[in-house]
Amino acid sequence: MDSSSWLRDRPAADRNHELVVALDIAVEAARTALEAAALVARGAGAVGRPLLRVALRPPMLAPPYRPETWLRSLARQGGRRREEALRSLSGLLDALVPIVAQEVLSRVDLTETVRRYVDLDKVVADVDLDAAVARVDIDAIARQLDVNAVIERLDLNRIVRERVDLDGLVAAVDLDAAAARIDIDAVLARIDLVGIAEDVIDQLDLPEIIRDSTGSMASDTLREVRMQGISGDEAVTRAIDRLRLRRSRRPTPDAVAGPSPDGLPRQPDPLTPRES
Amino acid sequence: MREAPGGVSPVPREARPYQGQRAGLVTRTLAGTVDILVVAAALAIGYAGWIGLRFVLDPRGFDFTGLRPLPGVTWALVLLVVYLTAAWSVTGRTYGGHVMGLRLVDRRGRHPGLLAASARAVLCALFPIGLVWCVGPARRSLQDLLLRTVVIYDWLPEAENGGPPSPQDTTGDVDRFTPGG
Repeated sequence: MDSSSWLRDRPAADRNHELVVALDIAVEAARTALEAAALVARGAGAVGRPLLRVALRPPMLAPPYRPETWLRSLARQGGRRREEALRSLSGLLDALVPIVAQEVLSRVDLTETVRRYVDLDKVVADVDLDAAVARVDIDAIARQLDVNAVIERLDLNRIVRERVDLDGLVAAVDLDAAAARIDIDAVLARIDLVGIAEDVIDQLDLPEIIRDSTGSMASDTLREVRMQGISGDEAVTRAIDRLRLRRSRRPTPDAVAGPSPDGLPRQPDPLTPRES
Repeated sequence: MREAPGGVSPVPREARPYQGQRAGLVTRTLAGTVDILVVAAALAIGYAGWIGLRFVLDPRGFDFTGLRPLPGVTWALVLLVVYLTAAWSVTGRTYGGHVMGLRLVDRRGRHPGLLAASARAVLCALFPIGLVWCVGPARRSLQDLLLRTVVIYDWLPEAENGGPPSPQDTTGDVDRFTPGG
């Protein structure tokens, strides 16, 4: 069995633990090496700084020929290369970062991550909501709001019944003052009082009540006698009319002389007034 | 049809179609009979009072021989004329007319004047058969034709009328008659 197969067959937890231990060793070793290097550098700097100054600025050479000048020129060229490299790297990052970010974010559940690792309450507590609301154009939002649809979904009757003190409101209303402002004449002008009164009188048979209460008119017996008299008058009138009609149908000298030109019996002229 | 103030008529509903229409023979005959009975009763009471007065004044000389037919009929006619004249000129109706719901009006629809009432009373007393003329379509007796009066159904008492009936209440012109009314 080789090492790779041994490592592959080990449980994942043991492998992770060993990797962490190796990483800790490497970090501690690097830190120790850096501290040793720094210590050596501080000692060498203290000893070699005067020598380095003489080496960079020899007294017998003119400034253009000194190593310091040559190094400064080299540093300027290096700086330009660095800036060019940064620009190239920035362009490369501009192209790569969106692609990489998209690939990464498509593989990460950001919502779950934020919910687990971000204290939203604390974030919201730090937000100046008043300032945010002050920047909102609530009038514009209200204009776009369909208030009628909202009202239709509300049970206003239930809300008023349960949450409004109607008795208190009515008690606070000055009904006398409100009634004093009512134009009763205008209200009455729109009512057919005469028609209503006539209907009521017709239903009550007020004349009968008046007669019963005052006794000013005829009693029932007298009324009956009068109506019988009127009926007798009508009967006499009908009998006289029948008698006159029968008499008018008797043959006249003209009828005896012969029928009318159209062959029908002659009839009295309806426009001729009857004799009284 | 006349109505009491306020637009309410005290006339019974079944009689309203006849209110203000001309009366016929039967009603007027019954009213005349009642008037004759009234006059007869008044005459009897007057005669009884006269007899009683004579008895009180002269008990020994009292007898019934004073009652003679001709003066009795004369007194009856005089009393009838006075009664009819007074009744028609004052209220337009006699007691018989009141009982039967009748009223006498002139061609303007008002109570006849004293002269017309007295003339009609004389004609009625002397020629009562003239009432038969009212069986005609115009329902006017001979006295009505001569004096241009008319007898109408009027169930409203004088106190509730507020005055004599207007011409419109009596079908306007008394020379016109609404058949069936």
